[in-house]
Amino acid sequence: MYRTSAVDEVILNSLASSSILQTGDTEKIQCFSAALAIQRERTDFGRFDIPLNKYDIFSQPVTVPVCPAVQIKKTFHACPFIRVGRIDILGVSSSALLHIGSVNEMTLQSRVKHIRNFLKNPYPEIEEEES
Amino acid sequence: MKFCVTNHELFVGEINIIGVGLSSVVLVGDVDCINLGSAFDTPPESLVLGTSLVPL
Repeated sequence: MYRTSAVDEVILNSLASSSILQTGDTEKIQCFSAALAIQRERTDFGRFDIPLNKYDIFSQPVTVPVCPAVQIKKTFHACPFIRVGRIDILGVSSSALLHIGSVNEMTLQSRVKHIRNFLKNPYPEIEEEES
Repeated sequence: MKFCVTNHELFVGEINIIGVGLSSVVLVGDVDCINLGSAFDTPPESLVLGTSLVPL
């Protein structure tokens, strides 16, 4: 049904934050990543108890198109191999995936909320115009 | 719907990627179905003043 993937060489520098390097066939993959990216004026180590459900973006549904059900699918492999000479990746992060092999079904989702946190308003003139 | 595929030779010399992030995928192989979704929130309102980061 699927082809065989043949990779001669994989060079991967870093694999971080629930990322996967998978070699071999997979039936089903489900990945989810929720990130709160906070850029603060002052570092404040040691206190980081912010509940993610306070932010809308982590609870809002993300609309993803559904794969149509293919009734008749015929696949003929004239060459049953996918050959790759070299894969060179610097970094894989945040529930991302490097997969060598075939997959039946995969579902991946990511949600990121960015916050820029200042202690004092860096744009006081803008607020005066608005009010 | 009828869907007929003939796969001939596929040979890639070199793949060079800087980064794969945020529920992305690099796949060397065949796949039947991929669902990828992403929500990214950086509005002007993301500017938070003061010490409390949690919305009321």
